[in-house]
Amino acid sequence: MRTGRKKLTIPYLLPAVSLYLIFFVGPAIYGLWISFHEWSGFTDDMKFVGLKNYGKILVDPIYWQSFLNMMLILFVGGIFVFLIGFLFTALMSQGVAAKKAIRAIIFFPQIIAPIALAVVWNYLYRFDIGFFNSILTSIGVNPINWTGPNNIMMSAIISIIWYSAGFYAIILLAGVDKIPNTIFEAARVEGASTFKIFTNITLPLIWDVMSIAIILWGINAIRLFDFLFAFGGAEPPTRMWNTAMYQFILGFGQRTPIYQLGYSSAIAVTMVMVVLLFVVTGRKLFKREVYEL
Amino acid sequence: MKSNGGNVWSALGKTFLYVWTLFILFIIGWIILASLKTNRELFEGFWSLPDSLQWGNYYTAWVQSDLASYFFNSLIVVSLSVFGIVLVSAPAAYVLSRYHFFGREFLTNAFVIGIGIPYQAVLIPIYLLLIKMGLINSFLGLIIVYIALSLPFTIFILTGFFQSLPSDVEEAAIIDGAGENTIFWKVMLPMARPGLVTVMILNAVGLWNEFLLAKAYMNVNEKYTLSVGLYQFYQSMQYNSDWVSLFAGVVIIVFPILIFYLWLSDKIIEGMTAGSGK
Amino acid sequence: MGKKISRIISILLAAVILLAACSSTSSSGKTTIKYWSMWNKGEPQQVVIQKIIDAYEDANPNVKVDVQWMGREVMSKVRNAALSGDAPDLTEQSGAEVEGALIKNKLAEPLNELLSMKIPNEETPFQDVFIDEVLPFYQQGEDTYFIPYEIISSGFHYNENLFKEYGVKPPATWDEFVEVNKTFKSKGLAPLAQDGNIDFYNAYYYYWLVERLMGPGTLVEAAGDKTGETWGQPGYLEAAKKVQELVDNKFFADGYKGSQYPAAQTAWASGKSAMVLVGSWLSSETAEYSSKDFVYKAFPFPSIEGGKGGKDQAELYLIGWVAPKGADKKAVQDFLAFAMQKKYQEGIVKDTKNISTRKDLEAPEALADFREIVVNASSFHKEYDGLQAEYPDWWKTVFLPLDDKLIFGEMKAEEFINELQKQTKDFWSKK
Repeated sequence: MRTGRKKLTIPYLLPAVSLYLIFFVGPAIYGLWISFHEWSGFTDDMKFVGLKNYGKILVDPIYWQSFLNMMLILFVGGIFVFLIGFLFTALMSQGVAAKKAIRAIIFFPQIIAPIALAVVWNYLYRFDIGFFNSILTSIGVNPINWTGPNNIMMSAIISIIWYSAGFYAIILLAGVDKIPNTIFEAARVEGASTFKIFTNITLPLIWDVMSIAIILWGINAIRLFDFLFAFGGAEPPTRMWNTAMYQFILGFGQRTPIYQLGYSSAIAVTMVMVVLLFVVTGRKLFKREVYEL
Repeated sequence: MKSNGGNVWSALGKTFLYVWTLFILFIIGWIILASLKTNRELFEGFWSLPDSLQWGNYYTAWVQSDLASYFFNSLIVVSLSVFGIVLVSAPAAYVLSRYHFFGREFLTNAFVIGIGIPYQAVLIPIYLLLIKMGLINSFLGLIIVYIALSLPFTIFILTGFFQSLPSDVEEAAIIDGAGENTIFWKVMLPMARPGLVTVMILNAVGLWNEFLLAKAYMNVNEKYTLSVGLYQFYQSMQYNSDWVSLFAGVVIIVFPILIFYLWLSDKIIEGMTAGSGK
Repeated sequence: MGKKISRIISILLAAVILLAACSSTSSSGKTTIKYWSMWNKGEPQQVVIQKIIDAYEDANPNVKVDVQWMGREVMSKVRNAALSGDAPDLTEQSGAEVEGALIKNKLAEPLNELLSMKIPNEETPFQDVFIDEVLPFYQQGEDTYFIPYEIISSGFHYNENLFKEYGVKPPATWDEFVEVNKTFKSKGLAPLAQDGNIDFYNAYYYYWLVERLMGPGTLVEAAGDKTGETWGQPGYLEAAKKVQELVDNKFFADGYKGSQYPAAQTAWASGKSAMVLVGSWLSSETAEYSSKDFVYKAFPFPSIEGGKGGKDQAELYLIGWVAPKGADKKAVQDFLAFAMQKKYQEGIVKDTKNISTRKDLEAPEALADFREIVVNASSFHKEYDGLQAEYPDWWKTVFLPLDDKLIFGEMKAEEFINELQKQTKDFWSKK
């Protein structure tokens, strides 16, 4: 159909494709290659060790701790983000006062720099003069050690839920808003309860949007780095590292320089595999007949 | 209505939504107030009020702690990156969506897969690459990386936009004898403006807040972006405990986004939800 | 094709050229000393060093000192830069960290000529102005890499007036120390402040107990034993038990486990707890928050009956300069000779409230005790027994996480030692 109009194909694609190859595809493949080596990063001593780094991952308690933290964010965080997201969606599609303003406000935390959020939340959680403990003590409850070793991960996840839930609620809401009002009205006339309307009408009709939102959450949750890294303070304790943090620290060091570029690359590869696994199973699980309007 | 239970739950839910919303407003207000206290006032307790507003905290953050120069670094990096992203992605997306050629499907899919790959997978290799190219600690290096890593997402969205454009205008232009370049720049690109605005907003917000890559590739102070600069400021505040200036720094990094948001909130929300809803 | 494209391209090009111009440090015949500092902008040491640099540039118009305030992660960044052949000429950090990151990896330049150079305006040879023992402490054979300018030592810090108020004297032995803790506790004051989120602050207790019980070098020995067997010796367990004793008695202030630095030390300075075991940098960090009647004092870690390490055994924690490989040695040595002048090093004492390495400079009042301990010590050990220098990976990934669990009471002493034994063995078998 567009015969004779092909001379631009290559020049228009070339910048994008070459940038993508040089700065994304190439590095990704090279990263896989590095993961089969032991390497401190100092050019000449790169040593091929095959799958040794992957074997090391299997028995590395810090890796599994970080993996657990990654999973906590992904699943515990995810469940709450979507529970709250659905609740807000249901309420807002029913109609609430000042819907537009509320929509704008609950969305906003998502676009604040995560470093700034980490600074602020860390302060809200302070044991002595933080926000939460000042509320607790004023109602006569013992203060909670929010950033204590047993709580810090949960506290971080609460903050992550706080700044994410609004965003996902609004993605879902965008799906709901596409459903014609007449369908809801018809259902109400027939006496269906709010819950029934939600499960039998809304959910099937936004199924597609929801599955994409969940996959998006998965990708973001697995690679989450900046908020947690800054939330941990000057020297984030190992027990709150997620895999992304562990990967970064092994590659770039913090105060104590650690240079295990091969091992760090192997960990990055496992993260890619987790993402792929999540996306693929997610697609399988959510695959179902889409209701066309 | 079948039962009152539904109403009670709905009222509870609404209360929760309102509290949630108010809490966000409260936090924003509290940060601004905290940034205007003295350190002593701040440590008196969470609910303390300032005697007089300490605008000097902003001076400390902006001038003495160099947030001003980080701010302008971010401004340069983000604006050039966003410009570059559009310049590179738009022609590619156009060709991918409206031309038919061998390997089109494959290329489109190859870009889409990039959306899901976490940056961690390329963090170290790109670092080594930048070193080889002499582009470490350089804005140019960071900008190129930002452009390259933003391509998958941007091309994905723009492809969708170009696909949705009607072809009659395009065909009319062909009949008028317009060249391919003219058709793209003069006819199609203006029609895709809403799409371009969307990707510019998304990338601008995302890159303004970006931390991981800037932290890894910018090692000297004078090249820090605002996120890295604020992180560094946070670290150093822990040695001299000047929390109020740190909160001023927080306001400084959030302020442009807030203004941007007040001005364009519909556009941003629409863009971000459409972007992920596609 | 449209003018638009060419306009856009020319704008982009212009921008790129502009950027390139900004990033290239063009120097015409001028020597540049690239200096990456561990201090952050605004810290007292940064101010002192900036003054030295300004004075140096005034005195040497053909030299530019290009300083970057990197913060405490500077060693990681220097090692990153060494990878790209882009290392600075001069950097600084604590001795053990410099040794672990640079000297041991042959990434530092020896500065031997500096030792006999004359310090400007003073006519004394460089090496003669230092307190004995300080300069040779990090020497490797004949080579001197590390030039210290600040002495830190760790011990218990307290407010003398507060001790008087509670009728308590600084304890000399562990048993006395435990008694003092009990006294405070019974009178309702938290005995020990601890910012639990800093793992290497938590490590002070176990490390000091091992020093006192078993003597210097024993921690490094156990860490380096590839079989892990050394941990089986009774002293290591005894030290862990003593940490557990503090935990079990709840001597640490409430909330210490999650205390985000510097919350606990700020609280300590305002009188909410009695003592804190940390480095002597504390006085300058907390000066702004201390209550009015605060008389800053410190006592060394108590000795333990039957222990092999006595109180004349001092920790020597030095902050100093090092020249990474490829540095302009001549320029760096000239600068360092200039920087060690008394009139500039006075700033370390007066402005940063720390102990200078120059023997002709008194310590700030609050640290007089510390300086005495260091000057009169019969022998020295490195901070954390030198573990950061010898086995930085083991330190960060094996020891610190376990030590956190011990001090947070999540692990009993026996379990701690068993885990150390097992994980040390695993650590080495993976190498």
